[in-house]
Amino acid sequence: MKLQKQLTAALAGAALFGSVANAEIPLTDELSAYGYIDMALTDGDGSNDTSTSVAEFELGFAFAPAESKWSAVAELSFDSDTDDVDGNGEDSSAEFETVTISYQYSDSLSFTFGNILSYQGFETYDATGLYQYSYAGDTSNGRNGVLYSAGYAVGASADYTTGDFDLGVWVGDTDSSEMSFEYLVAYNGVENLTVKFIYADDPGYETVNVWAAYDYGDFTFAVETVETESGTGADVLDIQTALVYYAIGKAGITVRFSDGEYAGVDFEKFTISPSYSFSDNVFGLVEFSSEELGGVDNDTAAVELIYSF
Amino acid sequence: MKKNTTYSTLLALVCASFFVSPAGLDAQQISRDEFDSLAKRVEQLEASVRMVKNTQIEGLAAEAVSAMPMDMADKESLIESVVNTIQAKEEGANFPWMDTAKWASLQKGMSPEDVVATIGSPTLNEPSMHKRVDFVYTYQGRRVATAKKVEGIIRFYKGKVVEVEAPVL
Repeated sequence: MKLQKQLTAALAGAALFGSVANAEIPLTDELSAYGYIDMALTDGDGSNDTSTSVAEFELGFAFAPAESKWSAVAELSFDSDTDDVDGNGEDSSAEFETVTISYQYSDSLSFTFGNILSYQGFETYDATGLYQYSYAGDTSNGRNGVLYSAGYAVGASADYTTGDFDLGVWVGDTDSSEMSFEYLVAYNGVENLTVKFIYADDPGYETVNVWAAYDYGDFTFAVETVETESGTGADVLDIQTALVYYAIGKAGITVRFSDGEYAGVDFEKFTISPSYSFSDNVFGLVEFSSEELGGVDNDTAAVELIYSF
Repeated sequence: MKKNTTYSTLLALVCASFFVSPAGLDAQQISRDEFDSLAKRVEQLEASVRMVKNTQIEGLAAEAVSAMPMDMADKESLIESVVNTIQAKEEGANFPWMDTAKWASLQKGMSPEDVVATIGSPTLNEPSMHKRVDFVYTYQGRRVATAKKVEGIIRFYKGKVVEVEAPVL
């Protein structure tokens, strides 16, 4: 969720350096708009047709008075939802993503309330932060490739940051009498290295997610492990992923390999994805992925173009 | 006197557009074409005001210098010097970043705070889609003397300057 992360950084920056413009599209001194359009063409096994779609159009508004400790963000996402991920039988959907009110108690401590994105994941929720088109997991059997057990959920979070460490805790309501929790510990003490440990404890699942990313020259190396059990203790998934990204000027190439199990069934996935930044606002890529789940192969190809504003 | 009248009329038009437009926008929707047309009109008015202003400065300087006991070459040189000084002061006040020396002092590895302390706040602060750029500071404006549009760009990755595109000043 690169845009959101940067916006959060910009909002925090605004509190510290009020004179710095913090908006992608300043509507007033305090209100700004931002967003992106994601277009994709995909083709895979088991289908004779290619699928073209406006995969997502996202529009966000940020309200951040320069002298106030309070700020707010609201994002609305329009998704073609061709796989009917929502399960509502419709081929499109509109939903809120981040809708939050934040209070910056100090330079280190902030509180956020609303619809908040899970701490989980090296692979970002929004396409703008991904190094390739697909996610590292299985894309057959109605799955969308996302390895993480949570996305957006209503709750409250407290985040504390020091020079080297970030700590976070999120709590949200569930359908049962128990609450849902997520905990984050992040380490940034070594230049160009980020390490994150996330533990999610929900009545319906329990997830441990650890990832590390390191920039070395024009290379980015990342490794990640995700292990999820259902509320009854049954294995849901246990997947490890390694990614290498190499930047060549405005171009780049991503190579990714995933290995593990879905409920005891072996899974492997290999992805290669050349990409190109046409400008700071326009990014395009092609991707070829080959995955195998329980001995069944599934190959996919994709072309994606993203315009951010 | 005629110049002053023209200048006042143009200023009144610009001021009127500022005060009247919001009320008009609230009252009724305008089409994209109408908006573009208005934007073009404002740009034309701004160019006219700039031209009249520059002419006025030159006129005032010429008037002041004409009374001085100097030969014509010296007078022209002095007028030019006065005009340049006034324009430089106006540019320094409105666009402190329009300074080649300041851009030359920017270096890779500087933080956003260092950049703002050196050349001032950016016109735009936008995220980048490039995987090796997190956000971009853009500095935009027009030279006071020539109305030439200039733009400088600074790119950051992990909180440090990774690329500087200095404006052509």
